[in-house]
Amino acid sequence: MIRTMTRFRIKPGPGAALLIGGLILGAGPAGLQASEASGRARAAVSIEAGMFWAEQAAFRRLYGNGTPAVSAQIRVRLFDGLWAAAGWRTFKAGGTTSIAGPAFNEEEYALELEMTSIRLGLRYAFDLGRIAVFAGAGGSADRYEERWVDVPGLGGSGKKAGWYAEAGGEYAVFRFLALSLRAEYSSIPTGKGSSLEPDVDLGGLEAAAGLVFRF
Amino acid sequence: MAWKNNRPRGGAAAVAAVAVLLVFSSAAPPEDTVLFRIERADLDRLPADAAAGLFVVQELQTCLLAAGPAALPGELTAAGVPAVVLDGKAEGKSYVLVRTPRPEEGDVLGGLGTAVPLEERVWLFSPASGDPREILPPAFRLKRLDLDRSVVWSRGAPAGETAAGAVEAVVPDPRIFEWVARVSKSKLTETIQSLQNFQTRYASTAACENAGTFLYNRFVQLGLACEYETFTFSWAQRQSRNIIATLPGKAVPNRVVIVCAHYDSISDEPETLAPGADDNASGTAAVLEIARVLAAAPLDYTVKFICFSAEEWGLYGSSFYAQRAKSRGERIVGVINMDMISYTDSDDPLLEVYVNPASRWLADQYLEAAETYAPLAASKITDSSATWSDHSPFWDQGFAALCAIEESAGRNPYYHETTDTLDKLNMNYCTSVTRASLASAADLARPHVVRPAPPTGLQARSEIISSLFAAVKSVSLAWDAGPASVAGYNVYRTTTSGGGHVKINSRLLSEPRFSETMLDPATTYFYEVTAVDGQGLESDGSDEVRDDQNNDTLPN
Repeated sequence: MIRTMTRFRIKPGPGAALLIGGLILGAGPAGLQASEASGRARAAVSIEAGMFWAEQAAFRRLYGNGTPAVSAQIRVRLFDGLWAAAGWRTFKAGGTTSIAGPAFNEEEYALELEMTSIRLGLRYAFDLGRIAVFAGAGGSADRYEERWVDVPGLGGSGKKAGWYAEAGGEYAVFRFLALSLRAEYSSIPTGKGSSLEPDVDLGGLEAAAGLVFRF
Repeated sequence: MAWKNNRPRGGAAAVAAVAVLLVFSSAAPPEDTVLFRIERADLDRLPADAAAGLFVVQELQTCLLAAGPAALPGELTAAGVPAVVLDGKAEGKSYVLVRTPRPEEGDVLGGLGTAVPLEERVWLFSPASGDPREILPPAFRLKRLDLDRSVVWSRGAPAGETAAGAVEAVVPDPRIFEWVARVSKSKLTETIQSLQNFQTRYASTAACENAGTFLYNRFVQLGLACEYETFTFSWAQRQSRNIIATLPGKAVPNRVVIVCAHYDSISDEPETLAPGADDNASGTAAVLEIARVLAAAPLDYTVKFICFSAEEWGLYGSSFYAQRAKSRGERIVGVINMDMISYTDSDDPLLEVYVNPASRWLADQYLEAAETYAPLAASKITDSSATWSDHSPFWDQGFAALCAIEESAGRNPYYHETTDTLDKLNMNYCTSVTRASLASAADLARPHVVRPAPPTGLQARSEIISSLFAAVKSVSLAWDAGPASVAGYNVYRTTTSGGGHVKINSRLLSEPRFSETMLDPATTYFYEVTAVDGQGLESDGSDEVRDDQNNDTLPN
């Protein structure tokens, strides 16, 4: 997964979104020549596990540099290489509070953050035989909850809309089974914050690998 | 924290722009000043530091009046805090707040100048010409607005909220019972009659000045140090005098309790006949009577007995005093203002005690003292729009103040009339209110006993502990250990510097240090500590410290 990230060299921020957007646009004309292998599949189900790197430093300071995430997706081919996708993604992170400003006693409290997203999007796949590359984007409905483990009632929760953009590749092991590698950039502005970060965005980069079942 | 949770999305740039504008506008309103209004309900959307930079010229129950550069209202609105411009060119203009007896009477104002309704019965008014007091009906109550000075206002608890347990229970003191019993109905009656005999006490008349001299002489006869405080008032730059008598404190003379009332009067024939028996010879008589009883009383804190003038013109006398008190750093513990305390049409009269949110503790203390010593039924009303008497300028300067006034349900029909005379008053009611005010003042000023010395060397530091969506403040205090006679310490906290401290430790502290957490990170807290000896006698508070006062000086 780390090598995949290195190859893509996607940096957090708007630049990442532009790069992935470019991939989506660039894949369009090429996808007109999609191969029969993926052209035969009308639907696909994928399950993936990966690592999420939050874009905001405050998130990383509280919950560490990487958070495991799992996701699943159902895709239906609309025409040629264009697929409609519906997905689910979740992660749960543990961390500790941080001091905003001068620190004296350095009190710490354990934290938990849970985040679950339902996603709808489009993906364009360009088939190169056993290998297919794809790019896509979509919107997400996200639910998050942060808890101070030892202080009932303290934390924050909410439901917000966000977006994501993704790119990756699939390697067909069998006609009905493929391995996937995927990178995505997401943005989930919450409109809330704290002394540490007044405007929390729960988005960032994610690299994931998984299995794809094609039908 | 709340502002962050309700903050409009994508408003960061707007908030930053507001913050920059506020930094440049907070010291004083610039040229090209606009006067605008912000609803209090919208203030949660402003960061605490940006809100603190607002140049607020008047706090009301539902809104703030603020002054600032022309661009500021637009920037505030863009940041999700709608600002309604009331006057786009306010510099150089004179404004008063006008409270009308009935809402529909505000229509009169439109024909006499610029009038903007702010709340029910409350108007912002700038006269086309002349002094507002001289062109408006006497029943209209006025408060002059000073656009060059910002007032202290409360961002915290909304007005109208009830504060429970803000002060400790009054411990009955036999000396206060004794003093209360010495309040004399006949002396109150005699003083009201004497003040009524001046025919009018309309500020600007010679009779009013004579009444001031009469009060001065009465204070001097009581053996109190007394002084005149001369000030200028009205559009025509007239002069009048506050009368200030001082009873020095035995233990902490730099802490001051103020007992006050205005002695000027008004009617529809103000130059010749304004007896003002209820408004406000009654309050003035109560101040004199409390001074008479307490003149020889040993109290820890200084008590100032003040008779203000030009209240009816727009609270000029009390504004002058309160501004100067703030400038010279006077440590005012609380202000007890009495205004109309003797008229009632009820057999079971109630006293109303008006406070702003920051002064609720003072009303609680007053009500408890009234119940314990008077006894008198009283109700607390938290209303930042109660700007119509001499307590209001003290609120503006951040001092705790209350106004004791007769029940509004039985509003005096002779109010501001030539018929407001002694024969209309209920002197039993007046005596009860005077007793309640005396008890409250004496309890606030603390009957003197030999107490331990207050702790020294108090230092405070604080840190903000934060997650993504929540933060709390943690505060650590340390001070010098007291002598062996000290059995322990108490810690007091307030959010209003200089008053309203509430004890926060449930058991006496044996060590000279204390820490607490889970505090609101957006609030600034102030602390004092006291020492308690083996007999349970508690010292005065130490010097007050802000929660982050020593963040830069203490090592990690």
